[in-house]
Amino acid sequence: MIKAIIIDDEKLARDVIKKFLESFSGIQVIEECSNGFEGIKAIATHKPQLIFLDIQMPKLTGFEMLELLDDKPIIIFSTAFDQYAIKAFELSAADYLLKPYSKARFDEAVIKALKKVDEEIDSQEVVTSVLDNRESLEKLDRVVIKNGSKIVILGIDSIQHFQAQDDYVAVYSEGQKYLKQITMKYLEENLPEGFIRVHRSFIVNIDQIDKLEAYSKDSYIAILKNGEKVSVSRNGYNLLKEKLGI
Amino acid sequence: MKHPFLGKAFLFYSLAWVAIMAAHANILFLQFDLPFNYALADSLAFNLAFLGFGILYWYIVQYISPENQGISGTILNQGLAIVIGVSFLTYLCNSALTNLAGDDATIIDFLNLAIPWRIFLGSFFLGMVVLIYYLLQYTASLKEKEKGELELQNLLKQAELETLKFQLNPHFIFNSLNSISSLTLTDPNRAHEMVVKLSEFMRGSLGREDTELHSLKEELQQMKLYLDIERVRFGDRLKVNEEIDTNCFDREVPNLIMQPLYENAIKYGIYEQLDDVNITTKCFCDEGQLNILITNNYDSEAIPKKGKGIGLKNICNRLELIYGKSDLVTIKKEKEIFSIELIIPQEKS
Repeated sequence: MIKAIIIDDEKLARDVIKKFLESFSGIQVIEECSNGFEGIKAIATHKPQLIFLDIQMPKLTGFEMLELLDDKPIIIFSTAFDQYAIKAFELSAADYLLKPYSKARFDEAVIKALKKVDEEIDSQEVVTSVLDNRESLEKLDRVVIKNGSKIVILGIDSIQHFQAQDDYVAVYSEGQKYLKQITMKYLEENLPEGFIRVHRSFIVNIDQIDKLEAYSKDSYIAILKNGEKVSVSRNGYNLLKEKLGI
Repeated sequence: MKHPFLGKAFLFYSLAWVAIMAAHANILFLQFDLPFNYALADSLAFNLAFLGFGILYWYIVQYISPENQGISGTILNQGLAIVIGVSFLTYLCNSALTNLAGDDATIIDFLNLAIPWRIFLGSFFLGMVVLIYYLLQYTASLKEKEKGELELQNLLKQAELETLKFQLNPHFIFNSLNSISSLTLTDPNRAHEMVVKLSEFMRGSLGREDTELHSLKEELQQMKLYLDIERVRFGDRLKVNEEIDTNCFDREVPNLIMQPLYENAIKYGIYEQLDDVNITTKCFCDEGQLNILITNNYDSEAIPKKGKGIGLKNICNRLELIYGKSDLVTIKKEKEIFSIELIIPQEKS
């Protein structure tokens, strides 16, 4: 039996999925969630193989919820209208449904997803690709983070800098350090203008820079207002100079 | 532009010349002691020639204008044209009058003496006429320009309203359709009801002029459809209350002015918090204005995903364009309550 979870804030939208799933005797809907927080909890509890995930949801979008998941099940995305999300699904070969959808279209998506479950294909790659390819009309204005069992939503202005750490990025905000599974590339492309990639491993909020010091012939150090130090490469130094007009 | 002295104005133009002719004849007769018949003939010959020339001169003014040749070029060209024209006319006049004088020595003497005076006077008259022509032309082009500018302004305003025009949010449409598709499977009667509501709402929303006004009653009916549809989508999470003074029902409001307010309330109330949202609508009015107050609970600490009140800004701009006042919208953000108040001016009947 395959365990599935439906995450959508509109009950009627969940009802369609449940109804359509009646013809798949091998799938059992183990829980229904009406927001991303419930979704994260349910996924941690039940470890489903398959989830149906809506994008536009209260407080946490479907994408933001995914950023917070450690193990990613096979996902069938759904959205009513979001060209940027649709583009990301297509680029990543993800399974997705545009509301409203036909039973035939639904079956097709489920059969494809079931095949992936059967073959034990890791969905990590697809999810990362979807998250990397999603573009938003506007720049990132918040970052969501899982801190222990709590979920923290950080406003972008409260962040001093980002530092790459293996598969994670460390986010420094108001004296706290959080780890988040995201790529530097995605951040670099989607952060607002005040953030600059000053080094392979660092992105800094220029409002937070107190001073710049030469470190060696080809590198510098930015000292932030809270005393933290950030490495700056020669390239990064040039970018900073350009941005600050010095 | 039409010739300004043909038509009604010709009478005034002629009258002015008649006055000049009378003065001219009088001076010759009384001051110069010339015979009356001659004085009259001299006045007629000279002044009629200039009357005619003055009229024809309009067509020269058409060709020499400050727009084409600059101010100094125009003055130079006009001066030259006037002097040549006047000299030629004076010569013609003198020849004709010499013939008329026969061998009267006093008249011949007078004629010779008068040549510079005639040139001076003729230039003066013609100069005046030319000035009047330019003045008329200038005011005409000024009026034209003003008209053009006014048209442009209207066009701009129209274009601006066009962009502010209420647009159905595609998210709303597709999610509503999805709700309907769900209801067709589980509750066909409610599905039918919702199709009818969505259709009615869309009929009232699509293709309406943005400056169009309708009564508050119609607006509230339209909004009820919208909120009913959203209530089907969000279920118990969306709660709606209203306190409407029924005396205000016939007041006029811009078409669908309230819809973005509800959309905004739903965006913040439904999508930026997990709690239920209560939306309250109050309408009250006095003689000169209608007040619409919409409040909802929200989470002031939430960091909204995107969009910073563009819908609300559009409302402000729309009201300003329609009523010409910029202080018709008041927004209050308290800790848990968001409220927005619209003042809709009412024309006193």
